[in-house]
Amino acid sequence: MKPATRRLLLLGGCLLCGWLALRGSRDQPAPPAAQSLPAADAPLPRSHSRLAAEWQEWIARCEQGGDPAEFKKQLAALKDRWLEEDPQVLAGIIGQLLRQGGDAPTGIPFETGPGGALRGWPTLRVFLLDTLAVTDPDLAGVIAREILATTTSAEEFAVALKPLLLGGPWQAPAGELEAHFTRLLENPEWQDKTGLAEALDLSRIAASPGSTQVLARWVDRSPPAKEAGVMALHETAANHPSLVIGLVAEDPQLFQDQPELRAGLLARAAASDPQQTERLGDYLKDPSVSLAEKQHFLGLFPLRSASTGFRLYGSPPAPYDAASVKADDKAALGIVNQWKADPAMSELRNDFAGLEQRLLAWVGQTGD
Amino acid sequence: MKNFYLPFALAGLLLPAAAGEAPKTNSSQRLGEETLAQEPYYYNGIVFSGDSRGSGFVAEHPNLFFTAAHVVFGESSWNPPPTWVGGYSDEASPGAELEIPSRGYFRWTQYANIVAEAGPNSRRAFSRDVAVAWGLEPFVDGIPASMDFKGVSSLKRPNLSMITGYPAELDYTGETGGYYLHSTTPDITPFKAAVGPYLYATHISTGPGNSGGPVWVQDAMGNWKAGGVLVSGRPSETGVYAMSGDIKSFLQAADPVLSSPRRSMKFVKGVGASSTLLSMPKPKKIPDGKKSWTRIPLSMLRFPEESTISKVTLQLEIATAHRGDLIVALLGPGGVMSILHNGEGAGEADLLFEDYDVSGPFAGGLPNGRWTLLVQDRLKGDPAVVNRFELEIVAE
Repeated sequence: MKPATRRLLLLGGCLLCGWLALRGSRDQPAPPAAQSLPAADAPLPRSHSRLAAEWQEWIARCEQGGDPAEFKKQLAALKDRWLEEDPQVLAGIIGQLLRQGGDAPTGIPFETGPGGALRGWPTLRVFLLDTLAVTDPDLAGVIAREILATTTSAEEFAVALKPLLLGGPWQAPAGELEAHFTRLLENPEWQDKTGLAEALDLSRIAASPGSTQVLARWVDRSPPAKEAGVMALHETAANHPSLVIGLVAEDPQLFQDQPELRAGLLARAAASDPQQTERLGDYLKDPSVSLAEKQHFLGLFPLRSASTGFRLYGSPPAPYDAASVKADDKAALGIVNQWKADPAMSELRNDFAGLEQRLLAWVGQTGD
Repeated sequence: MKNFYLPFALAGLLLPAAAGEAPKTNSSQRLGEETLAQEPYYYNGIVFSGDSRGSGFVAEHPNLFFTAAHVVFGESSWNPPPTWVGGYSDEASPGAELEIPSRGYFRWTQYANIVAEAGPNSRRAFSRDVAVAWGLEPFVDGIPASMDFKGVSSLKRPNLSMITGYPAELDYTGETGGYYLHSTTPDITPFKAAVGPYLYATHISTGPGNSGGPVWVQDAMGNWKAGGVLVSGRPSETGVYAMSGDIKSFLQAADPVLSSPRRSMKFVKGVGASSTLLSMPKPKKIPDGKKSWTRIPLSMLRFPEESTISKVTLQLEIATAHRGDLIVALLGPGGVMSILHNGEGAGEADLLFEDYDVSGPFAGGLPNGRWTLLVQDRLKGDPAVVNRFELEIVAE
């Protein structure tokens, strides 16, 4: 064995030990090193050198250039092959490759596919991070946090968040996710990046007031990727209406310059929830909200259309079900009658009539 | 009709004309009233959304109709749910009393596309220009049309196809199409790839107002299936959103709003799906208190190459005194992972899944490859044994 190769293997062993130790420290005291950690010069699995060699070949191939469509097929096959390795070993090797810093562009556009797995990897490091996310979840979380702290790529940042959103014991605390989300959205270099856009799904999955607020404040500033941000807010509101309704209702300044957005988000309120409908009543009586905005709201409420598609951190959104839609429509009909009788909302009488007609048609269709 | 043009020149993409003879454009022709009750014309309808009108077709479930997303969604805001008029053919507008209100619609879109595209009329925008509206009552009586989930490849191959619908203006001539059902002549039209599922063809056109109309493809048995949605056009040129396995994921997202299951309709119709059962050969012990995956792999290689997953059903039995110690996941081909059990039911024994539908994240993906059950028993004290692990995979 050449001295350089031996040094590389030793370094790899040390790094792997480090990760194992870190992994242990997350939720329990690290075990005595002599008992569970391999010695620094312990032989690494035979698969390590094979995978590392394959990786170097890929870097050379991408640097030379080639047909991205062909690369896409071959990388998909490579991922399937690598995922047959022991998950802990594979996570360790991927971590090592990421630390070494080697990378090359593939020419493939960033694309999310079924189950949040990527269909398109713009760089080889993004490919590594996508594969890492479905290896050993404990190790993947440790490695992902290293990448989140150091990367300069929005796409790497977005994919590195995946192990932190797995749920269960691997789900990062809400505060940590909020901090990562803030860092992503505040980076001026990333404002028009596809990685940033795909990572907006974090708001729906994290479902925390903090992350929702980070997204809402960012959209309020009308950034270049605002359309994607609006979609993410609507998807968050569709899945967790009380989060978004509460946020919008408590801050009258939010979306003051985007009245249609504010009206649309509020139109996702669950009419069966008295707290949410109370907030809607306050909104309709608020003199600082324009008549046009209120009319836009009444033209949409209760909004149950939605966007869906492959998402980086979860399944395609499916926020509504037949039973709750029917129950909400019935509840909304009762609320409209209360609003109609409220003299403070008299300017909206014609709009209430239109809404009532729509709700009566829907409730009539159910045959209940 | 909105957006029914391609603002940029597609000259570089045009097909070469046959030597010595200019091909004739296959334009929409008005159909007789007798066709309204026949397949596949029966599934067509007019879609009204705000001030716009377009076309649509009922497929996969009587309470669902497909149309182009730009017919029902404003450029940056939600329109109220569209209304539907089916089985109609006349010069005059059908009037509100014939309109069936939908309750909502789903747009199929991705974040990255929104950032990468260049305006609502770009080819990339057309590559996601599909929507499905859902209603609380059926839009047609009886069984809906079937989809060709391989529409992308079917439309590129020499299959018989036609475009039906309700163009407001015929073939860009200024002549009104009224509210009559129209169709192009069934023909072998070579569609070409533009971006993703967005295909285009020359020498075929319908007219403004027909966005959302179905592109029918005839299968080997002579049945018409919906292989795409008309989304763009100009004289002698047509662009379509072609169906693919992604549409299965789209339909799954819409499933919860349907009062009756969609899949039962499909099996009645006899759509060619096949299923395969995989099962583990013998029980497997899970290391106690070890925070790493134990893997139980199953190999699937039996489906034709272009097949995509319609349904995955799991049977799982893990014997344990505390199922709260367990985390269980399923890893499918392409690295699609779904966590099935996440330490719930702390003090309860045994983890059982019977006929459990785990299709969600796998629908539309590739069935062939390795399917691996991943299990961790993270707390010490109670041994766990996987006694049964079976997967039934349905793919088309």
